[in-house]
Amino acid sequence: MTTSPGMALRRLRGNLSLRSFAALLVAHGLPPGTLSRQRLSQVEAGAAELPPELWAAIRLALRAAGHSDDETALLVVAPPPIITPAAESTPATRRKQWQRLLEAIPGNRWWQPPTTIAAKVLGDDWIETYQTLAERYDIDVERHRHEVLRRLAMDKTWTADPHDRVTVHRDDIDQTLRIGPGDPFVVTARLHNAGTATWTHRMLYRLGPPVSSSLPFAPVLVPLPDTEPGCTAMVVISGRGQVFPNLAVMTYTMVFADCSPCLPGATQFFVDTRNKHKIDQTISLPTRS
Amino acid sequence: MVVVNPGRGRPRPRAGRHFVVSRELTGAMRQLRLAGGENTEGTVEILNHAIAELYPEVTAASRSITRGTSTPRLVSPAYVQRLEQGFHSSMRVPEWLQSADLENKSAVRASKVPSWLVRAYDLAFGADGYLVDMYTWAEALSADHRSNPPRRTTHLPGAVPPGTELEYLSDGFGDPPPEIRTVLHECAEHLARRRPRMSVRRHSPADGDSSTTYGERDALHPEGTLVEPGGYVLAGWILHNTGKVPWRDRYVYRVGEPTTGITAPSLLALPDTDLGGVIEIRCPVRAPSRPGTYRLCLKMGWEDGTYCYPATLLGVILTFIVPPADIRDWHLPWPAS
Repeated sequence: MTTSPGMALRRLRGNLSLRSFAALLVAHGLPPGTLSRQRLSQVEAGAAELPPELWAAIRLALRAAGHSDDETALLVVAPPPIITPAAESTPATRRKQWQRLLEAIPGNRWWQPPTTIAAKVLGDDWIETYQTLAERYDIDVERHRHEVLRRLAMDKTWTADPHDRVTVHRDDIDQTLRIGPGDPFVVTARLHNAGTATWTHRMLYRLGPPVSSSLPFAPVLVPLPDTEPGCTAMVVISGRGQVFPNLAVMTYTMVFADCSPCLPGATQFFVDTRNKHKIDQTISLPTRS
Repeated sequence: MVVVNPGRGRPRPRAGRHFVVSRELTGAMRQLRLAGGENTEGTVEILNHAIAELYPEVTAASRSITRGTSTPRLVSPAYVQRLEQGFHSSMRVPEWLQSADLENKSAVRASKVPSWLVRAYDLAFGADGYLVDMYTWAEALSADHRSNPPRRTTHLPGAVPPGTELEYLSDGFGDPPPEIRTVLHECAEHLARRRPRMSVRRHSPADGDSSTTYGERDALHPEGTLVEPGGYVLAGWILHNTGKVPWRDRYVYRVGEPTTGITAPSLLALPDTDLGGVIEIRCPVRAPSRPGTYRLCLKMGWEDGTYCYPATLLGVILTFIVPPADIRDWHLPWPAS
């Protein structure tokens, strides 16, 4: 049976009389005259209700009187949520979500090969540099997309191996990219298979959304090359800096093709778009009469 | 590691300057949709899949809208584009903005956004609850924007019963660790000391008043920091008084309800700050118990709730990620080799 706020209040009153309890509340901050003992009795019996503000004031008074958050938790009359919470993320929901999303990506300006982005907005010198980088790091976002889709479509059950281990090359730990807001970037990491399990069809999974005004845009799923124990895999992630000038962190963990986690822990990349230019966005205010 | 830095001549993309919070919300929805695909028809198809998944009763036939209410329905590319750009069911420009001298009038254009659509965007484009959380504080800020000048009308310092400052500020914090408890005590003492100076005076924002943060404290808790469900964090920001108005009797208000999403005190008293001065805000925060991405937003105001910078939409922010329950030991960094 669910405990109502009135029942919870009765329990908190304990052996005190209605009059003494009301006086106790007033002594600890409840404005006098807001809760009579008759009304208190009715509330306890479920015959009357109180507005949320009065419940909040009673809760404050009880906490000032020494009751804990947990003891007074049932006195909270929560307003109905203005929006139903988002569904919780599970391997199955992630797999379905990203399968559906990745299928629609061709032609997206964010995910197209970086050389095309460069050709649209930059000068020749920069394109040349970027092409060199693209060739060096084998950046092919479209190929990555196909590969992730192929893995997500696999009909296989995966089980985490307790002897699975990963280490990150010491130069690639906690990398910080210092770029301008919205600038494209490429980050690489060398992941060493330090356990006894062979990595097949694995991916790096980014926690959180793929982009926001204060978080960089980068793929949520990045395919990991199949890697034998003792060998090292090179991971290449391309993205764009967040538009706000701030420090952001991207956290990637390792998952199987069905989006379930392979092993504990995660690795992080930092993207720093802060600068000392004035950031204030205040506009001239309307003249007020 | 490689940093691609374009160097000279590169036009810097600018953050959108939205003054109506609903436009900020649709801007975030658009950003996430475009991250999913540039092709409008394709992304709307994904969105409609999400709508059908969340609201199984919806069919192609449910396109009709009952006047005055918005019920889940499948959407068209034209609807999505108009909504994101602020043209659909346009909201009235708030009175305080009507005579503002704006370079770009489209910055005050905004659409009404139904909550069911926000949930569908969140699911469709992998927002991890970020849009749903944003909707809650966007609605709260929208309500504040209906006043002229914009002001908060609930959780004001005058409503805190004397002697209960600590209980008020620590509502929802449960049993916090000593560091958080200490700061809550300090905040409560600061609030109590402010009481004799409280008045019924109405404040008004002034031209020339300006605050800036350079993200000096970002390294402690960068945007996107992971926090365990119900975990505690001491957030911090440095604010510079870069305007021509000394700061007196000011507070920062948490936008929205104190225990919706991230738990944080609904207000903190700020020390008086002269021109060119610097203050540090230390805000105890508790992460939600439900996995997802959440953003805390604090705005500066006076004791009557009036915001000092109504046109600076967000104030200082902090974005947390509470990892999904099946991702274990995410706090352990992979070791170096």
